[in-house]
Amino acid sequence: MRLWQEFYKGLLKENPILVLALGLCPTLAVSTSLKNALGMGLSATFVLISSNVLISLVKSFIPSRVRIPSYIVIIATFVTIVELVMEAYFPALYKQLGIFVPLIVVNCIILGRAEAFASRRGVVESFLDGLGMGIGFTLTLSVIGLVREVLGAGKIWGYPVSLDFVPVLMFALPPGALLVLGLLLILKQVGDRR
Amino acid sequence: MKAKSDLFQMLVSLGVICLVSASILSYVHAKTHPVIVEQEEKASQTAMYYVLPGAVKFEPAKGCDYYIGRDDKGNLVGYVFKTSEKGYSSEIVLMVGVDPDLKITGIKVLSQNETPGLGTRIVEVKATSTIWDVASGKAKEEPGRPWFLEQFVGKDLPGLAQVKTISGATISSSAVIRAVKKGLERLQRCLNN
Repeated sequence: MRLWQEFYKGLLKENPILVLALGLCPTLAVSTSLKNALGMGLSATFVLISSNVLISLVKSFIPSRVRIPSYIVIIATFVTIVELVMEAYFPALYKQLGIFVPLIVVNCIILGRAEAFASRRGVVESFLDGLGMGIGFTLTLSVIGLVREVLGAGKIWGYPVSLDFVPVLMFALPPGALLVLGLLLILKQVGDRR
Repeated sequence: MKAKSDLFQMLVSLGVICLVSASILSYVHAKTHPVIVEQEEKASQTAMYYVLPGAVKFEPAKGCDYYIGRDDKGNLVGYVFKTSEKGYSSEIVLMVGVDPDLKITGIKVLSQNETPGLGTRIVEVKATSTIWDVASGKAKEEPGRPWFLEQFVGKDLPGLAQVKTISGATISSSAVIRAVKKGLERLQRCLNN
């Protein structure tokens, strides 16, 4: 029961974007479409789970003064694996996400969870934490991506919603990302107060 | 003495982590590298067939950076070349096909990273079916070709002046025109030599 809590908390109660406000850079940059958001979310989730599990396994071997560089090396290794595999087997997605894949290294959700959670807890808890946080990140990113794609491009998953809808271009650009994120934060706050 | 052994421990653990990472990555790189090269080759092959319809064989030209397209009987169908130009926020890389009279037969954008919704309109395809058609299975297949790039088809070097840029995406679309012009001029020089 306690274990499931570690999973659930990432979805809403401690949602990395809406509550912890971590990883906002990739959130704003790649949420231009549902496809991009999902691709980014899933790759970050994979890195998050892998680094969480590995760090909780080796945490007692790493002297605390070099823990941050060690975490970064571990995270960067997983990101590079994701990048190479994606380039080899999903070239279309790789072309879309482009520069943002290597930037998963500095996605502060991953380092944040490594430092705040995985370096103190067991393997199973760290795995569930990574899974929950990753899914929370992916879902939030997908909602933003969906709203921005519908309003900013008039499309869902690359297909137009209606043939004579004129898109509001601003939503495809950075200001639209901030607006949608802000509105989501309001919704979350209002929901919590109820 | 204590400080010294601390330092040693730090060096060793960081060193071990880096060593393990490096060996894992070189393994993954060795596994994926051939696949990546193959993918790139395939993508550029597909682009060649797309921009020069009718050609089945492409051979690299000697001394110059273009490909000669031939049909199955070995007759000359045209030439294919790569060209690129700086757009608004990225390098726009194109594959262009021309017939033996240097009239353009097709253009494909190989890579670009222009502003979504503005510069990316250079590869925009006129939509014919909505998401609801797709979901209900009524969609007509065949995605269509980007309308901006289709303007180039049938034009030669002087004809490029008639290509209309996209309003709101002037920089990106004129970069495409410049890239094509640059590539055509280079091809002409190569063929004359």
